[in-house]
Amino acid sequence: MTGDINITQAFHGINKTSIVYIAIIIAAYWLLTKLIERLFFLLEGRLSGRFRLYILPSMPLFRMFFLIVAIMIIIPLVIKPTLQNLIAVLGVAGLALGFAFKDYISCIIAGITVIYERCYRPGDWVKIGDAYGEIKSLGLRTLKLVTPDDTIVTIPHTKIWNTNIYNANEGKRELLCVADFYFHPKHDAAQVRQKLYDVALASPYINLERQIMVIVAEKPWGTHYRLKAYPIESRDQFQFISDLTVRGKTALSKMDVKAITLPIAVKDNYNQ
Amino acid sequence: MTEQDPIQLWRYIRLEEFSKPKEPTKETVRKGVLGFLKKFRRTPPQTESAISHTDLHVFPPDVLDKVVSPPDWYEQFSALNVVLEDWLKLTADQEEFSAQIIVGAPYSGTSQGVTHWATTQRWRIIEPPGIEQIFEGGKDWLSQLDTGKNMPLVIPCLERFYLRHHDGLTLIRKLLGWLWNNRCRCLIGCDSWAWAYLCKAIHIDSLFPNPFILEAFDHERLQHWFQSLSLISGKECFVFRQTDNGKFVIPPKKTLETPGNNNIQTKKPLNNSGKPASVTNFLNNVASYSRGIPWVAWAIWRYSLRQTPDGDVLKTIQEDAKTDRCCMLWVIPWSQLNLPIIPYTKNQKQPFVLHTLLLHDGLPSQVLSHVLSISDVEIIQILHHLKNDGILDVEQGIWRVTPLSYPSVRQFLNSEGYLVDVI
Repeated sequence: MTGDINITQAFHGINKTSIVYIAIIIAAYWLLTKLIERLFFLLEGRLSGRFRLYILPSMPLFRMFFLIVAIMIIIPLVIKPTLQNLIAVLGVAGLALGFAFKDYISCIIAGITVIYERCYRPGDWVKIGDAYGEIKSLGLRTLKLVTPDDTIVTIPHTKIWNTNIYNANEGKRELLCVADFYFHPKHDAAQVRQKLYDVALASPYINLERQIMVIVAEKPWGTHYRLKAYPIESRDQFQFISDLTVRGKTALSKMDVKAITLPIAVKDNYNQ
Repeated sequence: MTEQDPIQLWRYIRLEEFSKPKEPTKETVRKGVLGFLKKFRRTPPQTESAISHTDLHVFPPDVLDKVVSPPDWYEQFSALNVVLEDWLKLTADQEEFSAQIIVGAPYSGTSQGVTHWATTQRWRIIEPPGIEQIFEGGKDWLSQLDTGKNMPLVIPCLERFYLRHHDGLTLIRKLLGWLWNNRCRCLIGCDSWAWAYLCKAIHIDSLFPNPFILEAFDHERLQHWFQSLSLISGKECFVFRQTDNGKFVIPPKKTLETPGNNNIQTKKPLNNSGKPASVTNFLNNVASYSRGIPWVAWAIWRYSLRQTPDGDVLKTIQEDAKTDRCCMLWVIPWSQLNLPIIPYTKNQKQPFVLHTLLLHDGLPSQVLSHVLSISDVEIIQILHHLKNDGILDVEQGIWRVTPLSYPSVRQFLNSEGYLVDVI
């Protein structure tokens, strides 16, 4: 045995039949993934929040499963499936593709890491860079996120290597919401704090199984209240914050507590 | 079968001991499959007549009141007396001396029962404040309590002392503080939904001992109760059979006397041909679906009854059961009973309306609009839409969830993640 491997001997002869089979398998994989996506989106709209967050994260797992099955069917059609052949072909292919598609492969590896480590999953509300929204789908290379303005943002998975990922709910229904209030410092803080607590209790969106907190901080320009509570459904977070804000303003206007406004330049300095 | 002491039929237990009747496995599977398929239907399925059964008629309300008479609250009051007699014997140094709580399921008449008890004991009854007084924080209203504050008192319906509104909790906090500081003896009746909300909102359960609640009605209790409600002058005049298979829903008490066998306990109910009668599990399903709440089960039982056109129900009633003849009444099978269900809607405010009505045991539409911060027009649209679906009813301006739709509404709210009661 010379030890030389003729790489071409590792391959089956590619003929028209093989090409047709491979095309059918790729088409079937594409069709199945699209069907699964449609089915999951349909279920997501119909199911209550509790079941939705069980179903959605399994979508990328199904996609991965179909891909693995497709590859396992295609490889024996192309390569004579012996260990020697597989090592030879995959080694050469890996070297060639690695240079040409290193970013793409990095995305795919990141995608597999995301599924394994569960950094985020469909249904999670995440902030990546300056994009905040709900993850609608996880592809192999990218994720699709829908912002509160109904904009779809496509983000490559490679962001997990060097960017912080802020996950607000991590697969759960509950998500902490914060409504901010700014008042003139001359008022009874204990009364305002109690009233804001009652404002949260009165909201029809409130999840009473979780704690309500009112954080008070004195600033040079006034008093900053942060009303923190959880809605029943994470998708209602903006309506919930709006409800808290409207009820809070109504309640506190009766108590003659004055809201405060700052010139924009001063507020920007304090926000930094 | 021996007669049940009515007090044993109605029994009060501690809230932590309450457990609802279990659902038959077959019904769980059927409901699960149908519930899943329902998610994909935009419109409710076409309702069939429960009986192809064109031969069967619904009872007029006045006849139905005679066949399944409205419950007699006296038996429930007797059971309440039993549990409170022990409480009255407590001395001032014992922990539960000061206050006792009776939590009642929706439609349970808890406030009537507690009021009746207060009247017999001559305790002072604290009537609920007006809506405006609740919103104002009840400063003036609370001052009336200081008069005769050493007298024992009764609060029949605590659910009327608060509103789920940022101004609606001040009065009840002050009331509870007053009760705690004055250590006066008081009996408090409260709806189960209001109790659940107040436990979360103001931690009322940390101020009072574990409440009492009526024990759940399982299928045996329901059988005895429905049988007793259908007696005329103490005699059994009706036989209840299921329309699809003819089986008894409530086994008749009549038995075959065999020579030498006078042991009542060994005799089994017989059908017309003298063979042992088989009984359906209809009442098991009713007990489970109604969550053991007798008045919900009662409403379902009335809803399921039918008669043949030549049914001589009125004659039977009019003759006052002088004869031994029994009138046959038909019961729709459980799987064919079309009870009201929550219609599919994308309107997010609909569950808010349902939840708020349950938390307050009914509200007028104007108060509901104020509590939810939804416009009057929108509230009225939602209320009438739900009324048309049989989910809500209005009486004297107060909107409430109907007993027939209560289990469906509760299940819907629970699955959506809303706070629900323990019953």
